[in-house]
Amino acid sequence: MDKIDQNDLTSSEQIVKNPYYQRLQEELKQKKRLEEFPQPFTDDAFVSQQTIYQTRNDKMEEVFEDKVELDQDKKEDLVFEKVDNIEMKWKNKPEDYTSESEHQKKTMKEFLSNGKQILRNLSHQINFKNRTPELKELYKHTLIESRSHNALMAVFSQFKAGVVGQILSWIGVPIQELKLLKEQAFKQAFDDNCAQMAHLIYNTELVELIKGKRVGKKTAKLYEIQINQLIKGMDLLGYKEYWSKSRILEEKITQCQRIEDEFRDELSRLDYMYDYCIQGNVTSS
Amino acid sequence: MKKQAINAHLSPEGQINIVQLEKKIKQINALILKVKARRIRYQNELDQQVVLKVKKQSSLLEKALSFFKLNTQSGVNR
Repeated sequence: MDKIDQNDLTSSEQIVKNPYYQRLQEELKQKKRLEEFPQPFTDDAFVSQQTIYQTRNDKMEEVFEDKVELDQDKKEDLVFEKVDNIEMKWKNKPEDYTSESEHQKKTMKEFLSNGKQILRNLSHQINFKNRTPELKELYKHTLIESRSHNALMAVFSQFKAGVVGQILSWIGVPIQELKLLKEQAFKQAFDDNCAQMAHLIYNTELVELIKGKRVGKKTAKLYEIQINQLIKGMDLLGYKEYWSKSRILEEKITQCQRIEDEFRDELSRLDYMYDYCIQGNVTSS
Repeated sequence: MKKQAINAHLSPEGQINIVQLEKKIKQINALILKVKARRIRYQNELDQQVVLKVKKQSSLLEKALSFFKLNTQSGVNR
């Protein structure tokens, strides 16, 4: 027992004497002291803080890559070189340019690392021409959304469509093309509405057929809500009372025909299988 | 649903069960009859709708015609 105690003691002493352990203890003590009595900001601390900020800024500069493109004619004036990793210079100096002031240097440095600064100072020069197809698609999408049954979404999408339309007209897309896009968008929305309605009616009919009216009541109700939304959407698209009672009945008839055809296909397949099995049994027996 | 319908007549070993197959064929036949009945019902409803629409339009036309006749009669009288 004594031996074991002695061993334990020696091991604990070894740990205490270890320089790493001592350093850790000291650091902990310092932290505690700082928490209890916070020291004023010394010069050394300030310098160390500054170096941290500096390295962070440098890292940001290295990582930062902006996808925003500026107009080609204005871009040339703004190209600058990096000298000694710190200083910035104008490549093409303007005529009234005399000396590089600190302010200019600072703003140029900010342009390199801060996208918001670019937006604030040079947003009027951002070139959207390369993104025209994307913007056109967005315009169509927002136009379709602006005719949504959801009032809040419709209003927000109207605002968005207005903004995107404005940008497109700035780029130089003619009004005729914008009108054409609008027509295309509404036609697409109309086709989507018709397809969705057909799909929903098909589903409701199938549910009522297989599950029965009582069991499939909940699902049928869900489909009914969606059908009502589609009817409302069609009204908003400008086709008022398109989904009249007679038109819905026509759609129901076509969907019933479709279901019947599918069942007939399956029946013929099963009949074939049945005949094949019977023949097999007859030949084996 | 289709997969379920097709696989219903298969045993766990994947062999075709003739009794199940017969049952399935009967079920599908019943479903086809149901769909047919439903389709005919919808067709009748649509016909009724069309008849109602035509009746409404004819009554409107009759009204217009009587109004026109009255007007012309009063014109002749005058």
